[in-house]
Amino acid sequence: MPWSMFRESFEAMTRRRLTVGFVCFCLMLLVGTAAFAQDEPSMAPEQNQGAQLFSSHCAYCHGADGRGGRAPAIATLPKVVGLSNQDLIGIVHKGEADQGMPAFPDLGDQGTKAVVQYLRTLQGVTANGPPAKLAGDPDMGRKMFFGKAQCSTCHMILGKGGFMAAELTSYARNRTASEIMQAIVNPDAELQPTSRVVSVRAKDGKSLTGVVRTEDNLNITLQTEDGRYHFLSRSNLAVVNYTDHSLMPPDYGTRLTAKELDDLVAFLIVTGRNAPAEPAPPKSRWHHDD
Amino acid sequence: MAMRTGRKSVVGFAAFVMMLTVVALQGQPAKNSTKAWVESSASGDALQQGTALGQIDVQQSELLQKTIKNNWVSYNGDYTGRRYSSLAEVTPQNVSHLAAKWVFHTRNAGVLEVTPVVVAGVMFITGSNDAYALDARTGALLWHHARGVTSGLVDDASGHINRGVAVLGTRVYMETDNAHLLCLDARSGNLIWDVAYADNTQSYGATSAPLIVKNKVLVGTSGGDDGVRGFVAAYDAQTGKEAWRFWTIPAPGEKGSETWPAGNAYLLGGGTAWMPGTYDPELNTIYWGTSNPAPDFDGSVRPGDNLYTSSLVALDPDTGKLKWYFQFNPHDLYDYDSVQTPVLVDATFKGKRRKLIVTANRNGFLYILDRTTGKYLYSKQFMKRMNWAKGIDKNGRPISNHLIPDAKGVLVCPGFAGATNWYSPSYDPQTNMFYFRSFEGCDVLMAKQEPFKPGRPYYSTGSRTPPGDVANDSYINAFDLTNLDFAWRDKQIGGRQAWAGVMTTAGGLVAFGNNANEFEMDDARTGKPLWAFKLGQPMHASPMSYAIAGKQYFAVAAGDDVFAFALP
Repeated sequence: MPWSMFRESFEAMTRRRLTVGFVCFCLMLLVGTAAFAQDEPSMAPEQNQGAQLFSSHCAYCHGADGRGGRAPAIATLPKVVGLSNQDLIGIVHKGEADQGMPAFPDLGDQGTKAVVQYLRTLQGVTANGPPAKLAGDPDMGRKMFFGKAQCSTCHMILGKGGFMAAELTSYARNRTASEIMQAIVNPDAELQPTSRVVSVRAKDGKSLTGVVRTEDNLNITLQTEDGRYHFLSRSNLAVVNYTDHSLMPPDYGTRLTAKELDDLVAFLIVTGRNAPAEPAPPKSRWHHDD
Repeated sequence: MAMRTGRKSVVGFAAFVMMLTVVALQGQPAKNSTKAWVESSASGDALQQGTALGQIDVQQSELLQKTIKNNWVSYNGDYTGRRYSSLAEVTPQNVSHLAAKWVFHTRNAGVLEVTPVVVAGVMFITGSNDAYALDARTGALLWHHARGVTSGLVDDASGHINRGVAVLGTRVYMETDNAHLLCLDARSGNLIWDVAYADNTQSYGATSAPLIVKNKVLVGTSGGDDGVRGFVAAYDAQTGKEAWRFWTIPAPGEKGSETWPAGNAYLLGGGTAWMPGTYDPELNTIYWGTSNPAPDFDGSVRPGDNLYTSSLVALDPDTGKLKWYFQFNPHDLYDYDSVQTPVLVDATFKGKRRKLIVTANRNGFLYILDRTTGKYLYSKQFMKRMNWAKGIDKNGRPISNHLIPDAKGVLVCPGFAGATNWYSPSYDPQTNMFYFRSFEGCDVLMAKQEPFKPGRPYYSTGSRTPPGDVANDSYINAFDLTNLDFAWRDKQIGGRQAWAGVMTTAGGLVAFGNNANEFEMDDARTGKPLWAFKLGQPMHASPMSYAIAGKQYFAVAAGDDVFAFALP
């Protein structure tokens, strides 16, 4: 575990017996790190803990996405979004007896903070405060996505579009406008290994170009634009050329105007905000069935 | 969300490896237009491993195929549910050389219950709301559609079990623990649509695999022990619009409602369809089993036969209308679900070639029905120490011993785990034998009237293991349809109770998960154990077989992992 992270959180603990706090903290980091090591969306350990605590303590009444059910929609109600973090911590800790909400003192300081932080992600509030005002027009952005910009040729969003590239419905949920803009105009800056275009030439002279989806020392699997997977053995290949790019055109920065780009970003952000929240990943246990 | 492996550490490491590779090779200049990026040329032998390998586009003709060979296109492999593969490369003579080829590890909440589907060399599996596409030859991950599990679910759905996918065209369909039907793009895992088909806050959930029939996706729910009204529903495979819904408990005034008391009992009646059914295209009929009635064990609040719980219903797949039904357990008091696969068998019965259904029921009897009319033809008791019924009368109705669970508790054999359960049976047309796993466990069942509480199981009772009744025997059975008797019954040794089903092959083998955490193959004719591989994990799933470029593979899930096997 990173020493700096450990020290920072250690200093944040107040009014807790040091030994209990220390043990709990180490366990949480271990749990968080173990969970992080599994194949799941990239979340900081504290966020993962917050998601799990929310799922086990809050979701039954407030909904897995905080949008209500038996209890109010704490993810969207303006008066709840407008409360300070301290207010929220207090509510979790003491409950709201007259509203029928129990107290959760068992979460402890660390757990309460984590669950409040997770609620903030459901609310779309970043560490810097409520969501920034959008520069562009999301409706124009939608038209761009499916029209002039041709994003939907490869990307799917809200169930419509292509299959060659990543699904974008919840893409913008935890990303800033500038991050999204960068990803559009500079797509190869952070090239995912499963998005890279690779050209191969077999020993018999035939060639193929596709996106590498999985590979190891012996095999490489490319997907071509018709969706077909080509399972190739390296021993049959004379040349394997890894390009430095994905399928995404690198010239959106010049092809689209600044307004058009802002509109696209706005469309992605609004779509991401409205996308259903991710419930917690599964906890392992055995089960008999029906 | 669909990911093609999203771990930051993997990204970092792979990028590093890629950098080294790029440095070692000469790069090509980038192209400008989108279309020019990817060229799909006519590849030579080195680049093609068979017609359309890796191209997922499942046609109706594929779903309707009478033989299972390269592809295993649904939960049971084909519409008959007999799990008989026509692949014959692996035989009793060479099976000793069968070897593990790969293992795929899933993130999962419990023990996997999936049967993999394989199409064009791509394997689809599910677990705890996630779907994965793998290279079926190597186990390499092609895509992963990740979806978190739902909290606050009741009973079986809270285990986040998932039995697998259905495929049609370029789409993959699956149920989620909270009774949503998902339609995913098969080439990417991207979500096309998501339809909630039951309300999980009303104790519904789902644990099954959907079944595609023509242009519709058929689904059911869990919750038969939790006070729900069961149903089979059909959704348009293209749009996700609901096409029909067959409620397994008739509403007041409908035919069959006279088998329930008046009032709202029908809304809590159970009868869920929590396993995939089978389909006969010539008769245009789907066959679906239903669960026990609710509340379990306490029949006093639901006098009557309680149609159509613990039954087999034959429906019109275009409309969902009931054609006929056969009830295995009228007014069930012992949690004897009847969702076990209704296997479609064409065989000679008492001198005449007939269209049959052969099924081993949870109640300890094996049944043969005529599947054109639902007529009861035959039954055989397969549980050795049964006490709940004397037998089955000439109409197929149990001759009950009237054991009524009460506050003190009554010993009932089979117990609520059943003399068999959902794990797959198989029919082998070469041996003309019906294979299935059985269990000799009993339970002391207790009942006391309890009101229904929403969000809680509706068991109205409890159960306990009979004192001294510890190690109960399990069997793998082969019932010979030629002489209507058991050809062999292999008592399972190993001590680890598996909930694992069987399959058979044209090569002459029966394959199954045994009671020692092993994937085992026996001679299908004699039951002689020939080979086993220690998977080292609990087995709650049934095996399947597929082929790539002429090579036969077997795959089975155990624990959190999927294992594949082939000859060297």
